[in-house]
Amino acid sequence: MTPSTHNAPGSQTSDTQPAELVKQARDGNRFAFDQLIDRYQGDIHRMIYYRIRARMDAEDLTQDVFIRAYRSISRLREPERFRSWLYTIAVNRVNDYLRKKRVRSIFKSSDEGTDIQPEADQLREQPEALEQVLKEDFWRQVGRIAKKLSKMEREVFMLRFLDNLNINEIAQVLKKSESTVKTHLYRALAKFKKEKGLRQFLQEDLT
Amino acid sequence: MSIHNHNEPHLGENDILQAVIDDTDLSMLLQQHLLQCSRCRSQKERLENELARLGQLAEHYAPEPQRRVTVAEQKDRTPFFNRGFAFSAAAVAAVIIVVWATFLIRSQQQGSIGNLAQNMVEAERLMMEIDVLVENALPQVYLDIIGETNLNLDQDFLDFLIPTTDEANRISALAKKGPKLC
Repeated sequence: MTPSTHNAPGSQTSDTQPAELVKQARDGNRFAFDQLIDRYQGDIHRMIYYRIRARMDAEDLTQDVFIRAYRSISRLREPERFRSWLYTIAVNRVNDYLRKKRVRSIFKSSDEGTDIQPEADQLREQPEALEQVLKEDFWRQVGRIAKKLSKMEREVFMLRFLDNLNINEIAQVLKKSESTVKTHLYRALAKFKKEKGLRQFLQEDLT
Repeated sequence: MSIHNHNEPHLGENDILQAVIDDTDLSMLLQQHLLQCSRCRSQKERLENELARLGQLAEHYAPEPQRRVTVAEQKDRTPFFNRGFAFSAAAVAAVIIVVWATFLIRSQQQGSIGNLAQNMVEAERLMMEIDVLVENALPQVYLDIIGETNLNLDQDFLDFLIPTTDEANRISALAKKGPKLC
């Protein structure tokens, strides 16, 4: 279910440019911020889900990202950079989440990592079994390539090809130079090219 | 750049990767070649298509969010959290102040009790010295002269030995007049 877009009476239409909405939200216009949520919630939710692969936690983190953005939007100097700024918050929150999860897993080695199993079981009972198998296979292949990349290569690769950010935006999100981003992306692509399983999966899907 | 043929310098694998990332980073020669060579262009496009499909499938296989993000309630909760935190901090500070004040008062009390006890001991010692003097006012040298150290001497004898000031003046005056002749 996609969250419904809603406009308050007298608020801006959905055609308003993001930068303009950011300016209005910065001045305390909550309806403008609501429109920014409508515009970016899906992207941020997916971005988080790609990295943590747990639906409920992804929703909680998405909520948290927007709350943090709402609290500190008055400090955003360049409205044009709102998207990359939002992704920066999301990347940091995901890293915090994964760090805490890693610490927890030290103490709970046996039952950790099973939090997404009920969801998988539930989905398996649904009629779209083939779709479910493909989905699991796809994420398994993505997980495999992700493990072969360094942390920075993985982040750059995902931001570029899964989240569809351009090089300039990635540089802003990670606070690196564009040439550094390109270097990591180049290494990541070289490893991706060697990943026969995922590439075969993608080529079959393309044909 | 790998050159397959002297007449036809195709892009190598590394060049293709670089072109996928940003084809303007290639040399002008390779950029021109890429525009003209369908083989190199198809290699690049194939990789680009795979990567594009990766993004599409990721989006397709990711669940949609079930609830809409709301910041209003959360923003209201924030002061509550801050207030709770402030209350906790104030409570901790109050406990610290109470403990510190109790400790301070006790130490002051203990200090005053200590001083009082010391004063009492000194007073006791002084009183004992006075008692000794009262009981036996004669210095040891007089006691040695009379040959007994533990005598219960009456007041007249003591006055004889150590006359009072008035008595001493009267005797002195008589001595100046000389003996009265009958």
